Amino acid sequence: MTEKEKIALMEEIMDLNEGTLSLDSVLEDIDEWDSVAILSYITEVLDKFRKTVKGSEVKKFVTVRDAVEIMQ
Amino acid sequence: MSSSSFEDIKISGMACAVPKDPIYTEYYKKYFSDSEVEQFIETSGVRTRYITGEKQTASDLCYVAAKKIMEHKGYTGDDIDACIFITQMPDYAMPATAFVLHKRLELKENCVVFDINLGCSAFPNGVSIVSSMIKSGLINRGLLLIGDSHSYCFKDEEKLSHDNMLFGDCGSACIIENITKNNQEENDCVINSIIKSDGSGFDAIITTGPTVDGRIPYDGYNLSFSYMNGVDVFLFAITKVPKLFKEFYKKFNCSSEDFDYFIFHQANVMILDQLEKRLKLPKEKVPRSIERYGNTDGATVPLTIVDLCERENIPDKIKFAAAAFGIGLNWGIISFEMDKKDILPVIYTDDYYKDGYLEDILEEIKSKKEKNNKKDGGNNV
Repeated sequence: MTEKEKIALMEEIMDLNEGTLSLDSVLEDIDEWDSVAILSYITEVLDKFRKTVKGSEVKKFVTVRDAVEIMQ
Repeated sequence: MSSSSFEDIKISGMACAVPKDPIYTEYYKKYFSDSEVEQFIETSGVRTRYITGEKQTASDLCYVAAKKIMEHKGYTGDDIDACIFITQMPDYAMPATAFVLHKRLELKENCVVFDINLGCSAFPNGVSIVSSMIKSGLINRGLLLIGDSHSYCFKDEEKLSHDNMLFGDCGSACIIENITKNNQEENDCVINSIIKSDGSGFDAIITTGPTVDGRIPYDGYNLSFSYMNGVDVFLFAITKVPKLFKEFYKKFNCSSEDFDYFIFHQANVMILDQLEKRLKLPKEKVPRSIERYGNTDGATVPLTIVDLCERENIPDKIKFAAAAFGIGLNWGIISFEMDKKDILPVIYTDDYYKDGYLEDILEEIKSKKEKNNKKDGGNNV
């Protein structure tokens, strides 16, 4: 998955329009980054990248870049 | 090893009781914004729940369910060899509430009686424990009671959280018995189970005591702090339960085709959706009760079965695979067959045990304290 596709996945997770997010978007400033989006992020990473991300790790994310870097 | 096959043992009766009046989730628009409540309904699935009033407890609900199922089966207190109560909300700090139920149900002296402190995963654990007591020859027929009540949540409306909209109250009662010794015309009856635990998650769902450090003493319902790491519990449920099914199918040489219904602990619809998807189960084989009753902790598995039988046209003999997961962390799966006629409709009750309020004993404690105070010259140092 390319970086662009990963950002698009983050937009899908938060139910945002295409092109809304960049790697530097601050998660705390995005209303849609709520508990439901976090659960959705965790399941997407589990399904698409076979990785388990703990809640405590997600809470440390500052920008979209942090969330995308896990997607490998 | 924490798995077993219990041959010739059957869940021969099941009943569930809930408090009398429903509370609609919409009611909480008084306390939260409309959109917050609507999003909660969408992600949790809870539309109504039943909550005990000030006087009613989990044991009261279990008592009513037990009484009904014993009557239905034609059993008296002399026919029950064990009374096991699984709860996180006992009536007293001591003794085990199972003894209160032993008294109220007029069970005999030759009876094994104790409480177990488990939450959402109570059902597979409880059925396995009672079945192993039967298999060992200790007992012939046991009463498994699982119930919790959350009325303490309503004590302080200022401190309401979303959890107050999630949890409902229910008391369940199952009769588990040895069908060969009891001369019933049955064959091929087997209960299979696997139980798992992970104590490293002990603090993922926790209610502390009222002291500063949170460890002691446990003071009845005067609970100081409840905490749930929702994200990690979600992850735990959606990863561990599918793995457990894989292990179960392999160990007991079966597949999803062998079961009529899959009953999951009714945590919330997001977890239920994930489990259905990951286990590739058709929706019609995974009944849900969370919409009508909320998350009733350990009782959700029997309540979902009772609710299913009440609402749908199901076969006379039903094969279930039930999985539950929660506080501990603990998770388990159990498969069993039941006769539809032995599953009673949901009971609605406001019954409570008046003598349980111990007016005489409390009066005695009070007068002793007063006497001691007088001896000390009224100095309360």
